[in-house]
Amino acid sequence: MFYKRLFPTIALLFACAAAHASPEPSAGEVQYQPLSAKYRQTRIDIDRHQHTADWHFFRKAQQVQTSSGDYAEVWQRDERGELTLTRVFHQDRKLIQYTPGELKTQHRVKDWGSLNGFFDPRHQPGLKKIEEVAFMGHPASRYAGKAGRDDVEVIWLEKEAMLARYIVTGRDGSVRYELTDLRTTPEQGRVDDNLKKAESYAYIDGADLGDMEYDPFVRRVLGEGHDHGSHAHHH
Amino acid sequence: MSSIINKAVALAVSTAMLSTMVAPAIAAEPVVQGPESVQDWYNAGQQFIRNAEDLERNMRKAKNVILFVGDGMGISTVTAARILAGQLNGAPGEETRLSFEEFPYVALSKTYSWDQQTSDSAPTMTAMVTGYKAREGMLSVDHLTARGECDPAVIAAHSLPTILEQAAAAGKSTGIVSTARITHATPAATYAHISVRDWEADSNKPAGCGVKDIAQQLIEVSPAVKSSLKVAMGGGRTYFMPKTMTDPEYGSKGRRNDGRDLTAEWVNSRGADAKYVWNKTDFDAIDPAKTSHVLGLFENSHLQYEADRSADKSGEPSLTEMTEKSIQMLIKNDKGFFLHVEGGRIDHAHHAGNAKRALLDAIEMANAVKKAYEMTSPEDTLILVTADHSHVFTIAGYPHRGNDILGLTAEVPAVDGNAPAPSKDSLGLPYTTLGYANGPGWRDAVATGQKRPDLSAVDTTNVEFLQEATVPLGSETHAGEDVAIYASGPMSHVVHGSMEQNWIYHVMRKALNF
Repeated sequence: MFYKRLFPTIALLFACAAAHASPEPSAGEVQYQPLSAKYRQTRIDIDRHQHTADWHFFRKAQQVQTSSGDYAEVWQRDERGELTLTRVFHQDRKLIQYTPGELKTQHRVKDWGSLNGFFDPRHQPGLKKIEEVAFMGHPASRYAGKAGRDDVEVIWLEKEAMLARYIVTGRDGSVRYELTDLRTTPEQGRVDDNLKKAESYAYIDGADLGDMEYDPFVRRVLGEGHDHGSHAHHH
Repeated sequence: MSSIINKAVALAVSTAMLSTMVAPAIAAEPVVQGPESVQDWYNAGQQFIRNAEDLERNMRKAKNVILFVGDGMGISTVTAARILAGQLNGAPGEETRLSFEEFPYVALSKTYSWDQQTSDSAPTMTAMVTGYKAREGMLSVDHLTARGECDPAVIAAHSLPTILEQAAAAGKSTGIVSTARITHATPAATYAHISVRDWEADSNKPAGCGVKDIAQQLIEVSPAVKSSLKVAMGGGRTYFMPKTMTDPEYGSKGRRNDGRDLTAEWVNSRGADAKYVWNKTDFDAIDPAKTSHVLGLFENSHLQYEADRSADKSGEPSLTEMTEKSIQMLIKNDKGFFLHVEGGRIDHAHHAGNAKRALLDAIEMANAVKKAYEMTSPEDTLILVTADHSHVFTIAGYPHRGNDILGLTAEVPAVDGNAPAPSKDSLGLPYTTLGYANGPGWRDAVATGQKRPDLSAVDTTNVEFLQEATVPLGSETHAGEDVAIYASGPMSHVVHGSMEQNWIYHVMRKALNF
């Protein structure tokens, strides 16, 4: 249950300072260098059971991808700054795509800067910079604070504008993300091939989910909680 | 008898007013006031009676029939849309009437299907256009059809003729307009016969499934429909394009495995004056006098919500503009026409729990109805406006007259002269007038130490605000209560009382004298 509650925080909120509308690209905008990263996720539930999983992150111009196991999210930005989201379910050979209008309608619009950093503590009002540290030889900053009633600690790579560590601890357990690999010259095709793999997958418009509850796949996705649920904040 | 009652009522009203003047019980003017005088209420009621007495049954045969379907436009949606429409024009809103609310005849439609208490759009639209209630997810096939039936011969044996096909056979022109994909359940039920509504392109079908996908069915309709179907406009462009083709607006690939470009096939199979358009500029350039058939596919999937339409990359026409162009195309046939128009995105916005977008799309559909009414005559054109099903969308609390329909509820104050009082729940927190019984608008406030979120400082009128929902669901659901049918024109008086949804077909058939 704790994991189910935290999952949106990590997989979706993680990448979001969701209050921001999708920003128009501007001349002064931060240019994020392409990179790929790998994280080890460690989750300890209320019964002290430990679960681990690996998360991959990849970014290049106008595109950010995160994936774990057979699930991936691909965010793309067009020349007007409009975002689209493609959720890829490799095992089911299905993808769900959200147009810019649907992202707005479903309150899913994310801040491009936060997406590019996986989770950017600088956009989180509950977090404060505590100290400067080093992480895997990279200059970094440590942030700490609260997200709701949970304690949060973040290590942020300043130069790469990238998350290095994220720990959230609540009454029911904790979830930790730790950077285990970082490549600023990412191996093309190693982690960024979700869309290519999905070319033959069945396509579902994100607007259609509500009319497809008879479909076992859609029912499962809607029921898993990370489709909507607790990220529908009233910003 | 009635005049005696009228006199008695008038006496009671005047006595009450007199006593109020003699011994005023209030110290100050109410802050909340409607614009009406006391007499206005009575006069309006009298005018209604005179209008009703003047109503004449139009027993003529209908030359034209227009069936408007607001997808998911339940009665609470109509009410909230009318209030929002009025408030957008600076009025209190409650007294506003949407265009179709001026129609003389109204009935309730029971929307259950053969196998669903609360239905999806497939069997409900099948009921409206074939006269038969049907099964969940199936389009214009009878309820004996097996789920996932792939055999074309079996589908043919169970197919139900639609009112569009019958209009075509009678030599009328026909048209379909939607803000959803033109292959989506509601518009597709008028021309396609299939056991799974999601088989919109061949890539959506299971391997070896022999029935034609919905896009293919639109292109390969019967000779009569091919000749008659002058207009098909909506979204779903990529369902008509092969995977080797790139979408002209977004650069995405087509969804067809069979390599066919159905947009080209439309043009090639409909004669020299047939056209395919995909953006607003080309849409505007269509000359109805010089165009025989038009396929308009303005998005790769659904069209934009009305709230977002003006920002569309390549531009797309509004539902009103598509309706206008369609009627200009169809009205050329002396034998008349059948046109189906769907406000398809009301439903999608409700599923997202986004009331403002749903209401703006409902208002736009009312605008399209107004345009259609202005372009035709009630003497020879039956216009029906209804919904396929409702949504779990509510108008709650005791908001005062003119309270922002998208805002927090504020009540008429207990003492005249005082400002409206914000309504509070039992926790002391404010709440919105609009809400959903379930859906994504549920907030996990408990996790943050609250029992409910505090909306005091939230702009609930923002187009991206999701109204609160009681039960957390990934998608808000349809609702099973009746929806309304509004009718104008020949045989519209047949629309009355409590109707089964499939009787709508029988009204149209009766009006067309088929």
